[in-house]
Formats: sequence, C-alpha cells, structure tokens
Amino acid sequence: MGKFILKRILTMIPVLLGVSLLVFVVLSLAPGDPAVIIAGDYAEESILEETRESMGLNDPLLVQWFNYVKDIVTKGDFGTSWKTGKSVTTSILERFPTTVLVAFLGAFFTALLGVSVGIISAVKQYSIWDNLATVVGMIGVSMPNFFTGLVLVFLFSNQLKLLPASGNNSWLCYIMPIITIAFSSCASQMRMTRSSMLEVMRQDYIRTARAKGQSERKIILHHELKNAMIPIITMIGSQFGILLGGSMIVEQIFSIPGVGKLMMDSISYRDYPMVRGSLLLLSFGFCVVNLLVDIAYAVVDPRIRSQFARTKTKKKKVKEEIA
Amino acid sequence: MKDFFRRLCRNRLTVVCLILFVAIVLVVLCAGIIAPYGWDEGVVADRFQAPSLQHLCGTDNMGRDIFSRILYGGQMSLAIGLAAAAITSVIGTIIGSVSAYFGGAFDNVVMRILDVFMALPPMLLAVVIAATLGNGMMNTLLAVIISGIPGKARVARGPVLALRNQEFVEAATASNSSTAKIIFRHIIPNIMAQVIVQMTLSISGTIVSVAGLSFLGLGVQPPAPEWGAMLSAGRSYLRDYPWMVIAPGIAMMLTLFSLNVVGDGVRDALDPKLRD
Repeated sequence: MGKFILKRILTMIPVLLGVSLLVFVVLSLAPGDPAVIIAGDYAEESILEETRESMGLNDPLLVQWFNYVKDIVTKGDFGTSWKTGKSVTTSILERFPTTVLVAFLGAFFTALLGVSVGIISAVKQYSIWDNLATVVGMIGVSMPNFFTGLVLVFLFSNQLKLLPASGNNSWLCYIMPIITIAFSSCASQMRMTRSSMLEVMRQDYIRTARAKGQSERKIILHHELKNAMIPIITMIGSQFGILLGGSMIVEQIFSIPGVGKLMMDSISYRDYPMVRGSLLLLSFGFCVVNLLVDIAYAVVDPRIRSQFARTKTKKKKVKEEIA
Repeated sequence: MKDFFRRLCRNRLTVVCLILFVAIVLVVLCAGIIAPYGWDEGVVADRFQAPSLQHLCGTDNMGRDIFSRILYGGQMSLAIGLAAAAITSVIGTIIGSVSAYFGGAFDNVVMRILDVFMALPPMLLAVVIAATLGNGMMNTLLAVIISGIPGKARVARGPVLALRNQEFVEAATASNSSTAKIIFRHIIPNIMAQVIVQMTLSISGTIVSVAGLSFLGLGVQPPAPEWGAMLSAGRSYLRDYPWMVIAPGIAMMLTLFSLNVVGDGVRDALDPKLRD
C-alpha cells in the first residue's frame, strides 16, 4: 500500500514537469513582445534590449524554462507580475483558498444531491420519481453553467433581490455559485449512483440480507450503498478536480476573486507570468486531487487492497520459481 | 444498420429528441430563408424591444433582431461543435490505436505525453490555447480540438490493446498485410461502435466548450453571432432586458438537451450488453 502511494507520487513529478514545459512553450508562442509589454509601447530599442537581457528573454527557451522551474522548486518563486510588479506567488496563493472553497462546496453539494437522488432513483426504479429525476438531471446537464448562473442572477438578485449578484464578502454570495455548479454537475453523479446501486442490488448477498429479515433501511444504507460507494467516491473526487480547473467560468459570472478570475484578467492584460502561475497552481491542484482519489480508491475497497497484496505474493512466487 | 435504428427508436424520448435535433439543424441551416432580418442588420432606434410578433425574441442593444441572430449564431455554434467532435474523434482514435498497436516504448512515450495534456483540465487547456492563438473561429476550433484529443486517444487505446493479440490480427500479419492496413482495415472497424458512441456523446460537450470560450471573450468575437458570445454580450443588460440572455440560452439548452438524449440513445442502441 505504502509502495503504491509512493509510486503514484513519484509518477506525478515528471507529469508536473511536463505540464510546466507545456504551459511555458504554449505561452511563449503568445503574440506580443514581453519586453514591449513591460517597458511600454514607446520604449527605445536600447531599453527594450536591456529589459530582455535582464529578464533572461534572450536565453534559449529551454534555459528559460529550466530557470523558471528551478526558482519554483528552490524558492517557491513563480516570478513577478508584468502588470503590477508584485510577486506572482503571493497573488495566486492569496486567491487559491477562495477557489478551493467554491470548488469544494460545489463538489460537496453536488455529491449530497446526486447521491441521495440517485439512491431514491435506484430503489424506486422506473417510478415517477426516477423518471422525474432523470429528466431534471438531463435539463441540468444541458444547461451550460454560464447560462444557469445568469438565470439565477436575474431571478434572485435582479427580480427578487434576495442574494448579492457578485463578490465574496458574505456567505450569501456563495449560494448562487454553488447552485450553479450543483445543478449542472449533479446529474452525472446521480446517474453513477443509480447504476452502481442497481448493480449491487442484484447481488446474492442482498437477497440473503433480505431473506434473514434485515430492515429495508439497513439493507439500502449498509449493504447496498456501502458496496456501491467506490465508483461514487471516484466520481466525487474527479468532479472536485474538474471544478477546480474549470473555476474561471463560475468565478467570472459571480465576480468571485479566485485564481480562475485572476487568470482571465491576466490574459486580457497579457500578464503572462501571472497566467503561467495560476495555470500551474490549478493543474497542480487537479493532479493532487486525482492522486488522492486513486489512493482513496485503494483504501476504501478491500478487494483492491488485497489485489495489491496478492500481486506482491504472486511476484514473489514467480521469482522463487525462477530462482 | 436497420437493427440499430429499430433499437434507437424503441425509446420514445429519444425519437422526440432526434426529431427536435434534426428540426433545429434544418432551421439553423435555412437561416437565410427563415430569419426575418440579417444578423448584423439593426435599427438603433428599435433597440431593447421586448419580444413581440415583429421581433420574436426582442432586439438587442444595437436594435438587431435576436431571433435572427440566434439562427445565424446556431450555424456557427453547431458547425464548430460538430466539426470539433468529429475531428477530435478521428485524430484521437488514430493516435490511440496506433500507440496501442505498436505498444512497448512507443506506446509508453505517447501515453506519458497524453498524461501531461490530461493533467490540465480540458477547459483550462482550451483557455490557454485560445488565449495564445488569439480570437476567431478557426482558433477556437483548434483549441477545442487539441484539448479533446487526449481523452479520445485514451478511450480508443483500451479496446485496441485487447484486440491486437486476437487471431484475426495474427492472420492479417501472416498474410503479409501492411501495418497501416491492419490498423485501418482490421482494427479500427472493430472499435467503430465505441468511437461513434463517444463522438455522439461529446458533441454537446464541444458545443458547450466553444460557447464557454466565447463567453469568456476568447472565442468567436462580436459582432459575429455565436450563442456564447450573445450570452456574454447580454450579461451587461441582464437586469432590464433579460431576453438578450434568455433567448440564446434557451436555444442552446434545447439543442444540448436533444443531443444528450440522442447520445444516450445511440449508446444504448450500440451496447452489445443490452442487445436482445
């Protein structure tokens, strides 16, 4: 188990290096001369040359990338913003908790709603509730989150004046973003729960539980849900990761000052160090969440755990046989 | 084929949605005939008019007829969405199956490169590429395609790994077929059902990505009509003139809803497990 986790963490390192290289190369292709962006449109050629030299822009791209990664690893330094001159690290870390909070709450309520409706759908398969949930879920998936968000703003802030349309200064501000997220992503959660539950419900041990007179409530919660939990957990985790990475749209609609909004603003100012930093932070978060999901997957399911143990003993046996 | 349609038509909702989607495509394609006004034809004096018989969905901040703009915008949204889904599936399938067929070090390298691409959430990847390439229809298309390929390649790889050791591949190798012929004539036709299902299911996703990029100001630019761009433009007038947002939003919703239901129907119809 420990070996598996270690291996999984070690494979993450080259992936993250690759991501940083990818981001670096793609953004270096972006239009506009960085020296002109920093020194101003009317700077003289000598000043431009000086800026380029001082920022290492004359070095080959790979050298620039190497220095960039070196600074991140050794000093935790993502560079300085071209627009404000502030450290990118402080700016992105300042905003990261907001993004994580919104993504986390979004994933939490998506799971809460999706799993509970999914259970009801599975238990009462083909009933009116099942069909209703499927259709409402389908509508939710079919509404792009930017449209859902705007409709909510129109209803609850412009018409009913109940909730603030933007900002993050009170807990009320988080209600609409979370509804937006949950509405568009809970259908997939619901479907996953439903199909996973339906599969478990057909197993023999459920019939055994019912035959020995176990209460229906206990059968559903203990015998069925517990066994159906693995794909559900994976889904919750990967949804959290996707929400983290797709935070810019929700943050843009509700003007939440998170990393996604920072990145979109920086793109419009052509402040590429800031874009680079936010991107790397978001994809780092995404990778870490996926890692945790993989680990949780192995921890939750004893079958998978024993598989690890078994392959180990198998390998040992094979080795012994060879020897 | 006949069998496929029979099974597709068994679900009533799927049939209704298929008809709805075909109707939407037809109406959008005939925008030139149906639309009462041009997409950039506006009378400033008539701006912000509420929906009426004259302007079915009202007019926008430049006095342009929103209904006409939705129809013309649909051409762009649907064209980019369909093209992106098709191209992504083709390229992804080829990469995935070639990589899986050769296996070994080559497969390993390809998979590690795809891992890097997949470490960036798709929307984030599309945003970076769109920001780098600049605005415009072709660049948006490219951004959505590149961000979709890794996932498609992954999906194609699995079944090919299972197929490449089968006897018919061995037979083809023994009869001296070229590698290209084995991959394209023997292996890919065998995974076609999965590829088609994945493609149908991804069309609505690509339409949303395109509209999302436009909404963020990185895709199709105004004044060109595109659903996402129209939503983004209507956002500033949401309080007083909500139809600028609601009309294109509902158009999008109907399209995506029908596509999602049809996609599910196609999946069920092609699923060998559900075959009777």
